[in-house]
Amino acid sequence: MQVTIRDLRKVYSSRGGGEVVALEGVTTEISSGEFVTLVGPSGCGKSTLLDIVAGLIPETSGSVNFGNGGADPGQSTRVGLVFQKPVLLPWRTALQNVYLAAQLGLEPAAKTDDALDSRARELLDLVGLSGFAEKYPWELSGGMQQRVSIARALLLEAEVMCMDEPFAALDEFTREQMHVELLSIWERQGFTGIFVTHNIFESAFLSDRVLVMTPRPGRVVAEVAIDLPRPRHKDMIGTLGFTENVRRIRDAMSEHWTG
Amino acid sequence: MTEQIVFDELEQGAESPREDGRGASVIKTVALQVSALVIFLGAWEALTVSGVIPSYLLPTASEVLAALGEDIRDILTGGPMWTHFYTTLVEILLGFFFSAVIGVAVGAILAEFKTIQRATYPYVVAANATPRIAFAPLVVIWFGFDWASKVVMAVAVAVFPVIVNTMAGLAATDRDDLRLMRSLGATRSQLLWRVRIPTALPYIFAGLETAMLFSAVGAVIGEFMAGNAGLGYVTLLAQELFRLDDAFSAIVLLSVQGFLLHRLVVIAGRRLVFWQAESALPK
Repeated sequence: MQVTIRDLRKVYSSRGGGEVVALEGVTTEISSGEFVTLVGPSGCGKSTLLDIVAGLIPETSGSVNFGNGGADPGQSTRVGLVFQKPVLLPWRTALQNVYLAAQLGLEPAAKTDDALDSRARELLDLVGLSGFAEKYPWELSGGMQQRVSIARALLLEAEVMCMDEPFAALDEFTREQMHVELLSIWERQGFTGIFVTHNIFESAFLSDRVLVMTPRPGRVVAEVAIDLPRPRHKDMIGTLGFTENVRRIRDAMSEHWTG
Repeated sequence: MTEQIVFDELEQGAESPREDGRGASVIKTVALQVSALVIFLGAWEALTVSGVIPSYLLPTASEVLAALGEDIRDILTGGPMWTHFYTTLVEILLGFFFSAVIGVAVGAILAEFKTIQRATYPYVVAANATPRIAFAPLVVIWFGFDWASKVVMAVAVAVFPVIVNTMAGLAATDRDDLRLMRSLGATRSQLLWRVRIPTALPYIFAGLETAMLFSAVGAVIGEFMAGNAGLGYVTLLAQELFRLDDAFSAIVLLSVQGFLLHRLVVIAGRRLVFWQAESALPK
């Protein structure tokens, strides 16, 4: 599913009556099945951009279109969302958390309870949680909780997956493992990935393309195409090619912004 | 409400040895608690038997225990004390029941309808700040000498913690939970039933625990005002007859009753809100 963002602008009115421009003139086109990262320092509007694409908040002006024109987010297009925190409901088991999505407004067309149950189990298998279906969130580690939330987002068969720093709260080792697993899920499912992070290494490892953002007002100041081959694996992280890509993201950032 | 939650944490803290599964530690705790009781009763006995505290002010511990034994025998054999015990029990339970139903309903209405909340909340706060016990004489005029006036007093005292906690609980839904539910296209009623009510349950149960204790306070005050039955009435009567040992015995029975009823609510709460103690989710 292609995502076309045109001249997007978001203005919040602040408490004192003034206005804060969170996003200004953001224009980009994300091809179907592409994996794009939004990278930038805090306050650059990357999460705001993601929330607008996901249909959580309205834009002030400009547009987000899916496919070949038409379609507002959240209506005919399913947009999956993964948050920084797993946001699991503690009174539901892992399995019940996964199929929560199907019990709400955006019900996937006519599925029986049994079909839902086995679909949710498949997704738990996919994220490496076979055998944890009946566990409650508090019985799972942070990484496992985040896997459940990824499985939940996958249940809706979203063609666009928005991820808001999903691994920021995990330890370094778990995070690296999650990167590899996320990419293998992405390759199998073929969704369009939009991933927010402030970690340059993460953005280089995951993406086809990195959109570099700077704050006040939040705008996309550069695009960096990552020329690492797919599939990616951990061994690439130390290579010259990887370092070169990281350097290009960094240069793009420092050219437009002084923290 | 904050008070109640702090209380809960203390309670859970006190019970953590049992959760660690160390039986020896439990036995040790029980032994310590029994020793404390024995020392307390021993000191009481010594101070009263020796005459340091004159007997017209405080009966000896052994006199109280004897009166208590008699009362318990009477309760078990269905004597007059059974009627008093049963009367108070029913008053407390009815008071609790109506407090729970009315409290949750009013709390939910105030939480859901912001206009009603804005119009009435100051008066709810003012009513909560009023010592409702001051209404006791009027309640007798309105509701008579029988059980009804006791139940009304119990509700008047016990309903507020339920109202306040229900409101707080329904407003306590995490911002990220709201984002999630919105991104999944949840309707308002789905959000209410699947997230906001479960989120509110621990708060509501904290309110219900307090309500059970307050309901007992209200019922006893009602019995002080009028009527001829109940443990509160027995205490009052014993005072008038200068039978301090009987008064103490009735108070101990009230205390045991209150403790067990409160325990019931706590246990029901832990069953229903099973995720609360366990849940260490980073929220």
